[in-house]
Amino acid sequence: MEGEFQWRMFLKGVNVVDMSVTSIGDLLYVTLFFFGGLGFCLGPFLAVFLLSPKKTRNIDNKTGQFIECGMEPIGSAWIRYGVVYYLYALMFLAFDVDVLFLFPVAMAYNQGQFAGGMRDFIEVFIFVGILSLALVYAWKKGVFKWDRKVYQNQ
Amino acid sequence: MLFLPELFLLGGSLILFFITLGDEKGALAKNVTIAIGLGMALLCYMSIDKQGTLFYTAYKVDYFSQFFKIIISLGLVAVVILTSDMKGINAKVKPEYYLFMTLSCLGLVFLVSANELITIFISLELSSYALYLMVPMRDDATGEIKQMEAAIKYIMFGVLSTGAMLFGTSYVYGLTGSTSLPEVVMALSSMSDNPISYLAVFLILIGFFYKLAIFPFHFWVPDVYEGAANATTAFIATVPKVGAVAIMVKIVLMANPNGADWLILMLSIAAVSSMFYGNLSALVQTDIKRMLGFSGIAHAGFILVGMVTLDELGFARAMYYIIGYVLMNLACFLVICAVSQKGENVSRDDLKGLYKRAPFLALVLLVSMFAMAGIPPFVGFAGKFMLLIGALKAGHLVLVILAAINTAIAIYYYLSVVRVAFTSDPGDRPDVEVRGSMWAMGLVLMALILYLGVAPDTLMAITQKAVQVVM
Repeated sequence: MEGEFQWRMFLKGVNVVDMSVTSIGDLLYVTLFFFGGLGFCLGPFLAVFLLSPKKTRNIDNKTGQFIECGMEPIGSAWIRYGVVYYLYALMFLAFDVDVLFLFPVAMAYNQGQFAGGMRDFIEVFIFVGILSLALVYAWKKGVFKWDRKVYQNQ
Repeated sequence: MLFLPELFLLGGSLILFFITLGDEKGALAKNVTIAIGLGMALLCYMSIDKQGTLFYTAYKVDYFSQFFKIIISLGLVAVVILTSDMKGINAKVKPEYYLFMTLSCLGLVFLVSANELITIFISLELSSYALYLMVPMRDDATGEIKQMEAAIKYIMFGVLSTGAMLFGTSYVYGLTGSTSLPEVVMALSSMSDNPISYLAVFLILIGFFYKLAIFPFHFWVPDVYEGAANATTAFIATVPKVGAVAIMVKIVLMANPNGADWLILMLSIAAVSSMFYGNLSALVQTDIKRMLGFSGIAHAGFILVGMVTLDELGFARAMYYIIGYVLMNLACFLVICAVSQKGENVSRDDLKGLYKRAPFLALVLLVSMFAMAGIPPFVGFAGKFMLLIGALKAGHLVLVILAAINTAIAIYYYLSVVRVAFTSDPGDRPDVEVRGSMWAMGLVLMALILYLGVAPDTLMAITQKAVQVVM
């Protein structure tokens, strides 16, 4: 609450003289986390630079390769591959997001005005039911049949 | 039962969803969509005088919202009828196409009733996502492959403006501690000397500038209009803009009444630059839809001329203008959809000799182009005239002069379409078949364009009453 007050005062151009000890402590924390985050970003680069072998048979002159895994890549990377798996992954995502929306419901379900009653149960049921229609649609349109899709006109 | 129209629309969308599960149900989906739109308009009309708030005041039903709901659902019906055979939409996904069109309308219906910033955001996204999906549903049988590019551009610019809008919302919440519109308006009016509040309102407005295609946020317009199928463009160009104008009135009111100078300046600059950019770019277009896209940018600028006055009459005139704009655009798209043989884009040359190939369509085109150019006695003239008079009385002389110059520029490209349709030889272009629904639709649209132009008082009285409710 106090922080919000100071923020508003700051926005209104009022000079808040009373920079209390706690807010300086907060600033220190923020700075600390900032540098910590920066360290997580830059640290790996530094570690790789220091530790990686630079002149072995597998590494030297291989910068132009699309994937550096120690093996010689064969052929071009511009190939067509089956899209079936990705449709599965997307459907999992639709299901996953259903679950995500249920967390706030689970948090509030037994509290205060929401506690008890058949109505809340039915509401959640309708909500999940409508979200699940995405799966019904995918099922009906044959997304879950694992066969290679062949496109004629491409 | 304040929520009955929305429940009806939701139930209708659910029915449409189950229709999409079947195969080749395009015709059924079309009829269901028309029924949903008409039923929705009827329910809104019956509840037009009801008032109240729902969902902990996040949702407000009043004359303003019900009026716009009627316009939106009638717009849906009109688009579905005038593009009835949906040339250019992939036959496999036709039911899905109607479903998304209905869902987009659902989002807009929620939007005009939204009384809270998060609700505004969610309903705006609901309507936008459906539109993003409609763009790439174009059939590639006619060799048109621009739709994917158009869809990606539409999404990317949409995401950008959404981000800006959310950022503005976060500022508003930080300043006022609330997202409810009435509370925000109260809190902001007491801190109008605060630059952050200007920035916050401006950032929220960006979301609607994007929808309405105001100058710096218009980049998606020409490519999406050209890349999307004729039916999709007809929808994007009309119905969502009504919703955007409705909610812009509410957002602009947020910054009222103190410290309005910056807002007036910002709106004036956006208006003038939109008009000049749209009209000058439209001069060189040959694709009719692309031309209409640029002309839409210019018309959006004109709507801002109404908002600049920041009073009841100005908002009412802006609403009158957008309704007129929807009618003129629908009439023009009726011709485009009919002339297009297999759903391909229509260039200006495709209209050659239209007066011989389809005299009725040529007449519809004439009326809509004259109306857009602002020639009396059509609705475009009455709208422009009232907007300019209002701005002049409010003392924006420079703005009025620049707007009048733009009207003159616009006449050139509108009338050159008419010239091609009426004075050139058809060559070996085939006759255009005009079916009964097109006759009916064309007659209704022409009658409305003429009636609203001759007697603007009736609609103005309604829009004024609607604005009074929210002010």
